[in-house]
Amino acid sequence: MEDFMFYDPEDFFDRVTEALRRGDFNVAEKLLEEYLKSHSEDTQSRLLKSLIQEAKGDLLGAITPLEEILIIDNSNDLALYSLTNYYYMSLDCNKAIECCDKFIALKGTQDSEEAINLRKIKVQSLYAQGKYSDALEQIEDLLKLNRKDEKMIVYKAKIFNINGSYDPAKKILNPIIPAIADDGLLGHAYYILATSYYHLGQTDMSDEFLYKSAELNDEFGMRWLKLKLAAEWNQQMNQNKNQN
Amino acid sequence: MKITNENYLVTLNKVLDDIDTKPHNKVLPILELLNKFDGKDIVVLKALTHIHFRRKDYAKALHYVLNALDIDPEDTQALKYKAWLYDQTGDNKLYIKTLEHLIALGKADFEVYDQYAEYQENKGLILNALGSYTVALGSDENFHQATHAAIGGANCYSKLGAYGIANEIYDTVLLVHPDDKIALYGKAYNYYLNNKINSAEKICKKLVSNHPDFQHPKDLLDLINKQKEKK
Repeated sequence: MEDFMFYDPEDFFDRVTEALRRGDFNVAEKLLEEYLKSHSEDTQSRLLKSLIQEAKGDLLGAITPLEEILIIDNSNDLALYSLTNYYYMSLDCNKAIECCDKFIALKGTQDSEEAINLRKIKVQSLYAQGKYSDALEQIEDLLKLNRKDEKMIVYKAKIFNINGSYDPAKKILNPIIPAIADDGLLGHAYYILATSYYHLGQTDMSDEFLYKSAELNDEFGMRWLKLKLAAEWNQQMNQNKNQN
Repeated sequence: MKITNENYLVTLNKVLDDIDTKPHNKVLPILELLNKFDGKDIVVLKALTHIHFRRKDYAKALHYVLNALDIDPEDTQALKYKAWLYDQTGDNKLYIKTLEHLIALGKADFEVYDQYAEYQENKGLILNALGSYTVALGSDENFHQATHAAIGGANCYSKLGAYGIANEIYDTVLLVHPDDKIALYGKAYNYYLNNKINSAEKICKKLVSNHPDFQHPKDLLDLINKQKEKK
């Protein structure tokens, strides 16, 4: 075992970075573990450890080192920023919101690019929890800063649909569709449009957007389409049975 | 009837055509003759597994599926039979191990992911279960069982406190199947967890009236009533 007490930290991080560049997560992890044994208060190595876990697809594993950082230094903005994302991704929405609020309080501004990113995650967290009016309030605040914020318009339309305001949902979504560059967001916007048109009785339009959404692999659009096709398939099978 | 090299394939094809339409006692003796003639034919071994599985003779089904897997240890259909057999016989450890084996081999399909998700959900691994339900839905090429995976996913979101997303999924299921009692109950229970007691109660009352034999909404109504009494 190497003695990391006598290791030059710069050289150590170079070795970890090099291992990461090779995609050798196990070596990088082992190096970090050894280093942390002799530098228990080190935050940078914990950030790296978190990144490795995320790259390995272990979301909960990515959260632990960041939580450890906050125990050592509760005003570590990088840890708070990443934790907001990871907590939301693991659907621990209360904690995501808490970290977002702490980050903003720490930075003293809610209008920086980073703060805005986290406020959008807060909107998504509130929506996920079913706190629609709170989410809408946050959305309106964010739209005051950027009235063309596509993600926030998509979420606003989602809430309109939930409240039964299908026509307003459609009206705010349609104009932004050509501007959405992100396929994930576009797929979700199509799914929301499909929902609006469905409830407005325009099933042809609904189907068109539903297929577009599924083509872009939107989880919600794909789910709806499969349910619809399954129902049609079962109906067809029953008809065939009755005919026989 | 005597099986020979000449009539083997014709007999096999005929018996496979009849397997799901003719009674067991018509199909089974022929399959046994085929197996006696060539004990190493995996198609016959799987057909024998299928018949015994349907007859609920799980010991015999397991005997044949293990023989089939001796011939091809990675045969997807045989591995799936093995899993369902362990499920039926209550051998949970081997059931899960077989599902995991199928997933590791990259041969898991909708059913495997769906069942594995259910196991993860019951074990409290909700986030993993959510992932497996989503993969299940994605790999359901024929769209036959989408409702189970969709409701399973919604239940997971609800258990994680993501009541809004759960509600959205229950609503999607209800768009396609407006009277699906499991989706309606899921929606009611999601409302209950989210402290929207009146909405939960309304759905449960409707369910109790439309499906008097469905126990879950009755239990939830009891729970709601007890809470109201306490207040």
